[in-house]
Formats: sequence, C-alpha cells, structure tokens
Amino acid sequence: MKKRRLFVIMACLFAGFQLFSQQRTITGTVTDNSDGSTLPGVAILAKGTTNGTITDINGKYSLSVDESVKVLVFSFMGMRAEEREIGSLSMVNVRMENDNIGLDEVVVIGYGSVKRSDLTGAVSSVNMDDLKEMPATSFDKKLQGRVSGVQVTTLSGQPGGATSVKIRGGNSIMAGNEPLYVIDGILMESQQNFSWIGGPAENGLSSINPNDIESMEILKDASATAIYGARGANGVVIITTKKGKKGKDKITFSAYVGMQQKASSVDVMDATQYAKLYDEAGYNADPEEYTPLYPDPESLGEGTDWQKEIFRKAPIRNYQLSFSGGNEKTTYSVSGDYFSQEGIIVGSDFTRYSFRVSLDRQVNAKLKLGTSVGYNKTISNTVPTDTPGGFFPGVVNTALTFNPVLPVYDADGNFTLTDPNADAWLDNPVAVTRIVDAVSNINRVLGNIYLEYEFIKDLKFRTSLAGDIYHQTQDMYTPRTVYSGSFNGGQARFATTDLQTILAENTLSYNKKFGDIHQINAVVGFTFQNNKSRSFIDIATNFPNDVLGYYGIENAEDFPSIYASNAESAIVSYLGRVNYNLKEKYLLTVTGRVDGSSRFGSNNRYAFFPSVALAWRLIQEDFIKESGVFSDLKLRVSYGKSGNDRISDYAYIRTIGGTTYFFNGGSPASGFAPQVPGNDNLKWETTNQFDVGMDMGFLDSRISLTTDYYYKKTVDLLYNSEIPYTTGYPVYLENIGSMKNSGVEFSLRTANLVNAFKWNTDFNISFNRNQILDLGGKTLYVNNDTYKLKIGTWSVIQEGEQMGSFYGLEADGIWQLDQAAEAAIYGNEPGDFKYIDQNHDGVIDANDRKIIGHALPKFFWGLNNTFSYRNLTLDVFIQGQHGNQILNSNRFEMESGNGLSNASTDMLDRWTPDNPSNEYARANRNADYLKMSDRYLEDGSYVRIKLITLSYNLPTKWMSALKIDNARFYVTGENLLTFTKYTGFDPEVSRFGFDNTRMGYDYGGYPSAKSYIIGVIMNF
Amino acid sequence: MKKTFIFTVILIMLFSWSCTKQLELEPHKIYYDNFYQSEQDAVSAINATYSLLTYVNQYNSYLWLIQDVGSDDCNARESLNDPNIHQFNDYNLQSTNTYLQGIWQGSYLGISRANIVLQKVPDIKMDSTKKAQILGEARFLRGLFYFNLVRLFGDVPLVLTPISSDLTDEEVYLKRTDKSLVYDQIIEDFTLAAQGCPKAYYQSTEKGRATKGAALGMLAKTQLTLKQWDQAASTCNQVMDLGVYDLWADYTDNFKDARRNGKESVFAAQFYKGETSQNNQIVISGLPFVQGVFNAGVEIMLPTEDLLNSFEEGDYRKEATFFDHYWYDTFDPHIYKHWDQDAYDAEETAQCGSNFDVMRYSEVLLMYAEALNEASGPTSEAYTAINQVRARARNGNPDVLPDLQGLSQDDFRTAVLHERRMEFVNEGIRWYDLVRTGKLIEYVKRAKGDKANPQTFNYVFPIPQRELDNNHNLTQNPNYQ
Repeated sequence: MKKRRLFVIMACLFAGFQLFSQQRTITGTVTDNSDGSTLPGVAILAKGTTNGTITDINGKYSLSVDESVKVLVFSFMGMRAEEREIGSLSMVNVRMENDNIGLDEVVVIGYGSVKRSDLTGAVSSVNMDDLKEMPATSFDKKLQGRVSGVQVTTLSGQPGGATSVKIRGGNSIMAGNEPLYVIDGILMESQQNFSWIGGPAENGLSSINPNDIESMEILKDASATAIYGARGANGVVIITTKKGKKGKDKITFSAYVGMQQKASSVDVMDATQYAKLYDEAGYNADPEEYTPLYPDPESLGEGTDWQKEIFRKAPIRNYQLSFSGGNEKTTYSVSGDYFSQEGIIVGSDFTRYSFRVSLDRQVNAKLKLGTSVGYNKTISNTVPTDTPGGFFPGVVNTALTFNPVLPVYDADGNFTLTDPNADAWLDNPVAVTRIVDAVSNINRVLGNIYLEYEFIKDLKFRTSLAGDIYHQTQDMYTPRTVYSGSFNGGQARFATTDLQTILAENTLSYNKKFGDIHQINAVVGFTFQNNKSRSFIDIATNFPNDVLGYYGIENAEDFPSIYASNAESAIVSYLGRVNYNLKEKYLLTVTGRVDGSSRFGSNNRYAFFPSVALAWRLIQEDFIKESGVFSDLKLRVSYGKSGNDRISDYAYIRTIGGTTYFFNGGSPASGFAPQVPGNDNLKWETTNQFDVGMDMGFLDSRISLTTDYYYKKTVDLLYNSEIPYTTGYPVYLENIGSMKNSGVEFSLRTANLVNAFKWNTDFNISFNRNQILDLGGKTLYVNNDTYKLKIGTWSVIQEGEQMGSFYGLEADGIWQLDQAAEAAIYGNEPGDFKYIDQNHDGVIDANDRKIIGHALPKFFWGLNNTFSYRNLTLDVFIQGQHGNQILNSNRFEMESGNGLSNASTDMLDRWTPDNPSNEYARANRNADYLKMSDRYLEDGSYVRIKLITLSYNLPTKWMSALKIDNARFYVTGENLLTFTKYTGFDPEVSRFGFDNTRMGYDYGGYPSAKSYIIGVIMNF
Repeated sequence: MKKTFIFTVILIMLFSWSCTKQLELEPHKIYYDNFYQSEQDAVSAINATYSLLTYVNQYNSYLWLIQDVGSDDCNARESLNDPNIHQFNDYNLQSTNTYLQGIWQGSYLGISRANIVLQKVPDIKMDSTKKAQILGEARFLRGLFYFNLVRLFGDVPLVLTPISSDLTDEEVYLKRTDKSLVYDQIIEDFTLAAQGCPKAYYQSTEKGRATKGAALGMLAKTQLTLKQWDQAASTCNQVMDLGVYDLWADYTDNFKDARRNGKESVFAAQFYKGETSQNNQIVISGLPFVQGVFNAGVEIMLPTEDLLNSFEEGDYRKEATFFDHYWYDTFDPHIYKHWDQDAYDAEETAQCGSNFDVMRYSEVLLMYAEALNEASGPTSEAYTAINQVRARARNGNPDVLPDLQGLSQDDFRTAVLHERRMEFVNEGIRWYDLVRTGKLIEYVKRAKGDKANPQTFNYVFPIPQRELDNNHNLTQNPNYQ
C-alpha cells in the first residue's frame, strides 16, 4: 500500500502532461469502486500503442487517440487492470477494483514489512475497507469466515460481548488460545473481561473502534510468528490504524442506522400445558397422597410468554466523521466516532465514543517522527445470561423455564418474585431485566510515539514508546423487589479494574540490494514491556431502601465481601530477522527471539524461539513461465518454534491468601493460608510448527489459489491438573504434556466476470485436526458444579482424543412397559430415561461413561460473492462450520419431566402408558435427570447467510453539483438466515467463553440478533 | 558514522542490562516461603484452619444436613430440585454425590491447614504457652476433621504433613489407611489438644477457640464410637470435673445469639450476622418458603412423622424445635429451633449468624450415662446424668417427662438413644448415632417405609468419584460404584 501511495505522488507531478495529440480526445473520471473516491495517478494506455496518460488529482483524464485505437487499458498499482472498448464514445468513466492479492502489495510482518511476493511465511491480509458495511462492535467479529485457518466464534450476543478467535486450532489446554494482537506496535493479549455483575464476559477489543482500522495481517506459521517469541504460538493479528495520506485534505462522513431482532425462538409450554405436567409429575411420584395444585388447568389459558416479555426489537447506529490529508513532510488524520447498539434483551446495550489522532512528520532527510493516540469510552448495560440462578439469575434460562402460570406482576402490582411451588431459587426474568441495574464503563487510551533515524543509507534506527491505559468500572444494584435481592435487603456490587501496559522498542534495520542478485532485509531489536493490573471489588447488602441504588452504598449495613488484587509482570526480549533474496527467485528467512518473562520461576526465565523458512518463486523459472499455465507460482516451507506464556502473574509461587473467622460473633479474626501449591519449574508452552504452502495464480491472476498444510506440536502444556483433595489443594499447575494440530487450508479468489458486469468470488475453507498426544497418563475430568445444574463431569481431556470431547452416558431411549422387569434392575420404571449399561453390571453409574461427542468442528468456511454493475454492488457472504456438537444443557431442565420448571413443547409428547414415546420421559417429580448423556448433544453444524449488502455509488456527475467527491449508500442484512439442526437459540454459543476445556456448552446464552441497516459513506 | 553505530549498540546493551532486573518482580503479597515468622503469623495460620468450620461443606450445611436427611429424622422436600440430597433420603448413594465430595474436600483442606500449623509453628520464636495452645488447637481441629471423615467414609488416607513444593507421587497417590490407625491418630490428637488448650478463654474475642473441655469431650465421643466404654466414661467425668460447664435452665437459650459460647457450649462453629460468606444456612434450610414473610426459606428438610410422634407428651423441646404457623400463615411442621427471634426478623433469617454447636454439655451428660450403662449397667450416676437432661426439658412443668428409674441395661440403652434424638434434632448427630448403635436400617425403614432402602454397606458412604478419578491408589467402599 505504501508503494502505491508513493506512486500516486509521483504520478501527480506528471498529471495533465499529455504525450501525443491526434484525431480524437477521450475524457473521463476514474474512481475506486470500494468507496467511490476518485483515483489520481491511474495510468491509461491506448492498447497496442505507447500512447498514454495519467489521471489528475481529481481522477480526471483526457487522452487523444488515433482512430484505429479500439481499447483503453487502465492500470494502477494495487488495483486490477481494466480494459474498455471505446467504440465511438468520447467519455469513458471507469471504476477500479482492489486487487488484494497484488504481488507488489506490502505486507506488515512485525518489526518491518515485505512485498507479498517476497513472503516466505503464511500470512493473510484483510483490508478493512472491504468490510466496512458490516456492523460490528469490534474488529475481530469482522474476521469471521474471511480468512482461511481463522475460526471466529461469537460467544455471546450481548452487545459488546466476547468473540473467540482461533488461528489453526487451539494449541493449549488452559493458557489461552486467542492470538496475540499487535495494534500499531502495541502487543496485547486478547481480553475477555470477566463480568462482576452477572453479564457475559465482555470483549476487551470492543473498546477499540473498528472504523479506525486500515488493515489486518494474520500471521499463521512459525516463520511469521517466531519474531513474537513467547507470545506468538497462537498466531498474531497485526492491526494498522488509519493514517493521513499525502494529497488534498479529505473529510469523510459515514453513518448507518438499523434494527435488530432475535433470529429464532425456543418453544415452551403455555400455562395450561405446564399445569398439567406439574400435577401429572406430582401424581406419578406419589399417587396416593398427591393433591393437584392446578385442579382446572384449562382455565389458566396461555399464561405468560416469558420470552416475549424479555426480547425486543432494538436499534443500532453509528456515525463517524474523519479528516485526513497531508503534504510532502507532514500527514495527519483525526476522527471521531459514535456507536450505539441496544440489545435484543431488555436492559442490555452498548455505546462507544472514540477519538483518534495521528501525525507523522519527516523532519529532514534522516529524521522522521510521529505519534498516534486514540481514546475510547464504552458504556454497556448488561443482563445476566449464561448463569443458572442465585445472585445472577440468567434471564435467557429463566425465560425458558419460569412458570408460565404466574403473571409478570402480582395482584398488588409488584413483580412476581419467584415460584414457591417449584424450584424456589428462580427469579422472575422480567423483573431482572427491568429493575436490576448493571452497567460497565471503560475508558481506554492507546497511543505511541516513534522516532526514526537513518544513520547511513539503508541503515535505520527506530525507537518507540507505546502505552495502553485501561480503566473499567462495573456497578450493579439488585433491589429487594427481585427475588435475588429480596432476602438481603438489596445488593450492590462495585468493581474497578485498571490495566496499564508500557512497551519500549528499539530496532535497527538494514535493507540493501546488491546488484540484481542479492538482497538483504534484516532487523535486530531489543524490547521491554511492563504490565500492571489492579482491581477492587466491593459487595454491599442491606440497604435502607432501593431509592439510590448503588449510589447509596454508604448507607448499606453490610459489606460481606471485598476483594482487591494487584499484579505486575515484565518481559524483556531480543529479536532478530534476516530476509535474503537471491535473484528474486530463492528466498530465505531466519528469525529468532529470546524472551525473558517474570511469570515463570528463575529456573526457567529465558527461552529462545527460532525459525527458518525457504521460498522458491517458481514463476521466475523459465520452464514455468514458458508453460503459460501460471501467472504466479511460489512454494514455501517453514519450520520454527513459538511460545505461549499466558498464565497469571505469580502462578509459580505458593501464594498466601486471607480468610476470616469471627470468634464469638465479634470482630473478624484474620487468617492466612496458602491458596495454590505453587511450582518452581513452571515454564511456557512451546509450539513447533511445520508449514508447507503454495501460492498460485492463473489467467493473469484472475484466479489465485493459496494452499497450506501445517503440522503443529505443542509441548510442555500448562495445566491446572486436578489433584486429590487429600493434598489440601484442588489443582496443581504444571507443564504436563503435548498436543498436535494439523490441517490444510485453501483460499481461492476468482474474478469470474470482469467487464461492465463484474463478479468476484472469495472462498476459503479450513480443516484442522486436534489430538492430545501426551498428558503424563492423566485423564482430566471437566466438572461443572454450578449453583443449580449439578451434572458433574461432562467433558474429558485424555490422551489420543481431541480437546472438547464430551463425556457421559449413552442414552437408549425410554424404558417401555414390556421392559418393566429389566428396568427394575436399574431401579427405574417404564417411562424413565434408559441408558446403555456399557459394562453390563446391572447399574448405571460412572463406569458406564464414554466419549460421546466432540465440540470441535471438522471444517469451517466462508464464501463471498461480489456482483457489480455500473454504480451498484451486491455482496453476499455465507459462512459455516460442520461436524461439531453442542451440549444443549437447557434441555436437562426443559425435558426433565419433574414439572418444577417449564418444559419444552416436545414434552407434550412425553411418555405415558398410552403414548409410549421413546424420546421423552414420563412426568415424575422425582425424575433422576441430571445425568450427562448424549441425549443432550446436538449437531452444531450450520450454514449462515451472514451478510448481504447492496450498495450504490452516486454517479460522478452528481457529485460536483453536490460539492462532494463521492457518496455511497448501502443496505445490509446481517445473520439473515441460519440453516442448522440445533434446537437452541443459536449454534454460535459458548457459556464458558474462551475456555478451551469447556467448549460447546449452551446454558441460557445470549442469542445473536438478526439485523438490517442502511448506511451512507461520503467524502468531501 | 561508525562511531554513532557503535554508540547505539552500546546504548541498547546498557538499556537491556538494566532491564533484566525488572524480571524479578516479587509478588505484592506474602507467600508460603517467607511467612510463618512471628506469633502473629502463627495465630493467622490457626485462624485459617478454624475458618473451614463455617464452610458450606462443613458445619454451615452439609455436615448436619446429611445427618438429618440420611436418618429417620427428616425427609428432603420432594419438590427440591437437587437429586444429590434425595440420594440420602432414598439410600441410592452415588460416588458422584456433591455433598460427600464437598465434605471430603473441606475436611482435607482443614487438615492441610492444621498440618501447616503443626509443621511451621514449632520453629517460630514466640511465647511458649501461646505456642502450646496454638499447637493444641491445631491438633483439636485435625482430630475433628478426621473424626468426621472416618465415621462417614471408613478407611481414609491419613495425611499428617503439608505437601512439598515439588509435589511427589507419594504425596499425591495416597492409599487408604486402616480406620483403626486413623482412630489412633484422632485419639492422640484430642489427647494432646487437651494438654495444650486452656480450660477457658477470658477475652471475649478469643471465645470459640478449642478448649481443654472441647478436646476431652471429642475424645470421649471418639471413645464412645469405638465402644471403649470405661475410657469414655472417665473422659466424660474429666469434662464434668472441669467445672466450666452446666445446662441452661431454658433449652432454647442454646440457640440464642446472646448466649453464644455460654456455659453449655463445649465447642461451636462461629458464625457472624450479616456476613454472606459466614452466614449459617441452618435456619433457612428448615424454614418454609412464604412469599413476603420467609422469602429465604428453602425447606430442604422436613421432619418425619416418626420424629414428630416420638416426643413424649409435654416435652418442651418439641415446641422449641418445630413450628407450624407464623402469624396468619399456617403450614406443615417445619424445624425452626435455630431461629433466634430476638436477634433476627423473619426477613433477616438468611443472614443468620448464630453459632452451630458441635457439642453441648447435655451431650457430655448423655455420653456419660451411655458409657456407664454399657460398661456396668444403669448405675445411679448414669440415671443422674440422663435425668438432668430430662429435667431441663420439662421447662418447669413437673407433670411431664418423669425421671427414669429401674430400667434394664437394654431399656436404658434405648432410653439414652431416644433422649439424644429429642435433645439434638438438627444438630448433626443422628446418622452417626444410628450407625454407631447398629440401628440405621431398622429405624430408617420404620420412619420412611419403602421410600428408603438402606443396607449394611450404607454404614459408610461412597468415596467421592473425583478422588478415585485422580488417585489410582484409592479404592471404593464395597457395593458402591
């Protein structure tokens, strides 16, 4: 891209200078099809001649051509060349398309950049300009389905909720699998901000405005990631924000507004149906003594539809105004942005205000300096989801399971508190969404300054200092008028989190071409990073009244819990890389980084991460060139190491924590005891990765295909192994084993039609296989004893298997009347759940469990088709994943048959002697239903029409009249249609967020919305 | 040019050298290796061991709840959506039971903290009396945790030292120790505790720590469980001779905050009003749910008819233990004896801070009576002891609960067991008593009919599956899966 800009400047100098003048003159304007802006510096050539010109600063040209000329060729670096038949026209306007696979495009690779044709590693680029019509709270959401090998999953539909990004599968059990993000040189771990106020985890990246981002590069193989050493193992996403461009001052205004609604429903019983189930369950459990609670169920009618009460249609809007420009020495960019999204569940929303400034100055021939600083403020109201009740009653779960007989308000006009005849710990979901006040505020400043000095030609020194200051508050008040606040006189929570990162980097780079044969591009550097974090959480109960909410905290009587934490870590690194290019044909990259991290004991403070890569540009070989098949051909091979140090600070130390005991009801007597066993030998995980890849182009690059095979072996896996309680500790953090990920990726780009009607297709598909190779003989059982849904072990991590293996019983339908005798052996009656007795010992117990499913998909893909004709462009983006299963744990309760919570309408088909269902058990108050089995596993495969955008560029001739350079209008539909067999709200769900050990679990997750927006982008 | 280059390189090297020091970031907290230096540290270490007592998996709930539901005293509320508690009701106990796992976890966490005190405190330079007291308290608490474990699970791993920093296989994969050896250790711990702990604490902020009487009382209970009748009687006698204990005139005084750690309390888990994590769940577990009155009532356990009908006519303890109405609301009988209405309004019951008495003096008297009877028949001292408890239960009404006299040894045995049941409803002793006296199967079936089917193997509970999964040297109790 930088090269392209340089070219523009040079081209401008020549603009207007006409070369020849003959029989007739053709004029016109050349614009960029992506945003409608005019393109200066486009070369126009009369085909078959040497006669040509270049567009001026307003994208206009005028060319005199000979009568014999039939075709004009328009070319511009980074854009696909266009040919136009001129016939008898005197005006030819052309819109040019971005050519993302342009071989001369410059790719940012960390501590430097290279031409795409010189790349030896597996690096994908995403131009954010192509994705700007997609509404999103954060940039990571925009990556979904766009890049091969990158799996993006929305973890919660809460506005600003977390997103998971995995590059080439998960390498780690517990040290995190999210990539390293490098935003303008600042290294940051993807954050999933824990919610202290009952909401789903927030996405730390949503405090960065996606509209400020120019491009993203995704580093996938070891050749590319080793330069990031101990933090590179999960892949790296390098983000470059927008900077000013030399040329005239530009004002851009963009805006969209839209509406969202829930995309699907789950059918539950109405009041009459539920009342019948309730009493049938009571009767079946105790026929002699049971007295029906609802003697006349028909009179209850439909009752309350709790889903209808908590879901709504919700608006979304975004406005951005930016100014940019510059001259030979100085460039600048200033932007302001407002984003606001209401959630489809009452009580949830997300608002962001962002400002950003960047400035670069070439002081003299040798010295350059610059800065960029961004400020973001987000305000997010949350509702509890993904939780089962208690102090954070998850509203999606309770909307499904709350008694439909009960009204929203009782006779006195107060919210119904709870259902005393059922599981009394469920809260009225409407009360929770409407009167529990939970809000998160984030203030974040990200900025950097740099200075570059060229000592001698080709030898450049760069020093930079970057900072990330993050401040978050989370406040919540639960009034006594909701059940969870009713027995402690109202409850308030206050949480503040401060994070601070300082990064200093010094690099020396050398870039030299020796004749036409050798070219060297080398960098060495030293960096130092310090992270500090601080948090404070205070919980208060027993307020005199609910009037002041959390602002009345000083009036609270009790402060049952206060937590504070304070941690610091530091990393020092030495890095180096040499790119050697021989005859533009053979490329070699050698990279290494030494990282020292305070997170590990002194036995293992420093580690070295080397990599080597080779590439062979076969297209430069005559025999390939002459074959005429390829327009590009490159073979790449790389091998190297990178690390993962994501583990909490001080994890290796046997830390001591406080406890309290109140002797004689009096003042607290403080106690101290170790909290974790500690481990002096802790170290990072190391991923060894081999990659072989091929880049191919056919038909003058109208077809381009990139394919990679990789094999990754991660060793020294960090894991909190469960240890017997007899040790005094539940878990022990250690480096215990190894895991592999291997896979293939394909990325295909074709220009199917290139004339007036254009049709481009992007398709990518990725297959990854994960396997745990060694766990030191241990099997790790994943338990999930929640407040209410105590299903025990439901997943297992063991050698030879993949991560995310579901573990439990194999369901075998329902015991039938003619099996009564056999059922009795297992203590069951006809109508009860039946399971396979794997070891035939006459009892269904823990020994009958086995692996019953997998949470990891077999493959995932994305397909984008762009059709354009004149000023109209239609984008249709479809993505999907296949072969994964989801544990729909809402169904434990909704199909239990015990009548203590509302049931799915499927239970209308429940077993009775007259209706011998083999799927749904009988109604029975004492049903033993909390057994993990494959009956609750569902196919999570889906195909989703993710995005359809229709956009229209105002014709150039109108623009000058309106005094604007260009304007583009669009309508977009997001998540329009999902094809899936999954019966929950949304197959994109994960109750436990990033947690690689607990994937594919749905328990009342916030469903994704479907949305429609209209928008405009204008340049002045 | 060359000069600048070299200068830069040196600059970079200097900068990096100074930065390596930044790697040695000490934790902002104290940690295991630099703690345990002073008397204050020793006190902190023992306090942390006490704090286990109020965990939900200890005396806050689980330890007494399974005694109620697993015995003939209570049924779990049928509509309670918690199969794990119903397993105790039905005697369909699974190794995955979360209550048993919780008790196991909490007990061993307590043991590990006591072990730290016993390893670290001897080397701390501090007042020797105070040191002996702290070591005594640690012995007491370790003995208490093991006493619960061995009675619930039978043979259990016996751990007496904290784990090392490199966590060896020997420390992880422990075998079960024969219960006779576990009992030997419990007796040694309680015996040494009785030597180290003082008779009483005079500072009010110290009351609630283990005393000599507490250690002897628990020692007597251990001996009683082992049917060492003579030793048990003599140990009870030592407790009585201490001269610090007596019965409250009013039975309900035992459950008043104003009387906490009073003359009848031998040892109690100390709770605190208003502090969520230290609240005692015992009151709300028994109370009914009545919207607007008892919003926090969970009614986990409901008394069996058998229990309600067992009280003798006019026994004051019956009305002190159960209620079936509150103002205008009426309901089936529920347990409410731990609800101190002087200290807590109905809406405050969730913040209950009342102590849970692990042992009251009336139990010492009843143990004494039982031990004497078992050793040599119903002696006059035995009658005196049991009648002292009965006399208080009359609450001033001379026409009820006549003094016992002229019973055979067997009838006296039955009478003591009955008296214990009436005296200690919802105090976490009934299941142990039924197992100890071999009456579990008979009595539970009598109270619950066909619903419950206890068998001989149910005299111990299953070892938690989580422990079996993580320790290949551990074995399950017979007939459990």
